[in-house]
Amino acid sequence: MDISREEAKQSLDAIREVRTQIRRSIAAGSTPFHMILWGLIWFFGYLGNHLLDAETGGQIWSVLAVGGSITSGVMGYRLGSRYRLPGSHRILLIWFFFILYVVLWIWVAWPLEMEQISMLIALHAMFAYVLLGLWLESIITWVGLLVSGLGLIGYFLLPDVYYLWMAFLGGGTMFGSGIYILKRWK
Amino acid sequence: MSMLNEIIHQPVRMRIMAALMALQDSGQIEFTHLRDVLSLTDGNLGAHLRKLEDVGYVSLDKTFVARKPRTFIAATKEGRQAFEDHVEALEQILSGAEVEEKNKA
Repeated sequence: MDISREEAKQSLDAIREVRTQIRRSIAAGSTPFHMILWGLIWFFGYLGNHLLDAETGGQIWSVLAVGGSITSGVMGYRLGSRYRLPGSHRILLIWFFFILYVVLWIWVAWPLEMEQISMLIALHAMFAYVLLGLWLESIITWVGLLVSGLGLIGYFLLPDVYYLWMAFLGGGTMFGSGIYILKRWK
Repeated sequence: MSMLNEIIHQPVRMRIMAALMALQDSGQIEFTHLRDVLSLTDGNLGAHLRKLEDVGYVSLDKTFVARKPRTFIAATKEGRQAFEDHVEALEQILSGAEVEEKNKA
């Protein structure tokens, strides 16, 4: 079987394109849906902190966090049925241990102000994004770094509007990034 | 020198194998997702998968997920080796042609 150099090049280009599509599909998977979900949760949660008293804001966060975690779990299960990959359960374990260590760190550092707790949780979540992105796709790392940076700016430089800042810029960045990844890597 | 594989060189089958090779060794992809990624129809994908399965390059696992029938596809060890040999042959054609062009220049 003989083929031309041009046909060989076209074949190799086609192979590379498909490999990139699959790699991105695996990386994107349920990630953009999680970003959209948690972007919305952050938006309403932080908006609640800004508009309402601390106790009510905390209660709203509790409901959103539990509901969000359950929804994330169900989404991960249903969307994860596209692939069977060795070691894919590790992502679930990563999030489990992340939540466990966040609880432990807050427990050790207690007592903390509400703003400190929210910043610690946000930073830990974005740390997980940074690491996941290093493993899967770089855009996830960049989202983690950007939201971390924006969060720290709000926490240290804009304490009076910190919650409003996090609602729009933190939640908004996560939501927007999820939409972007979904549209680009469908 | 590696030889081109006529079974794999068919454009649709080549893309199918490229997709399966992008997964880790025992990785599997669900039929409808592979169909969507490669922009194929059910019939087209099914026909080419049968051909690849007949020569032992892919394996199909039919199962149920949340009570819905699902088919997961993976490249076999033979399929992976055949694809790697085919890619090597393509690269040799490309580099051989590049060497010829350099010599002419």
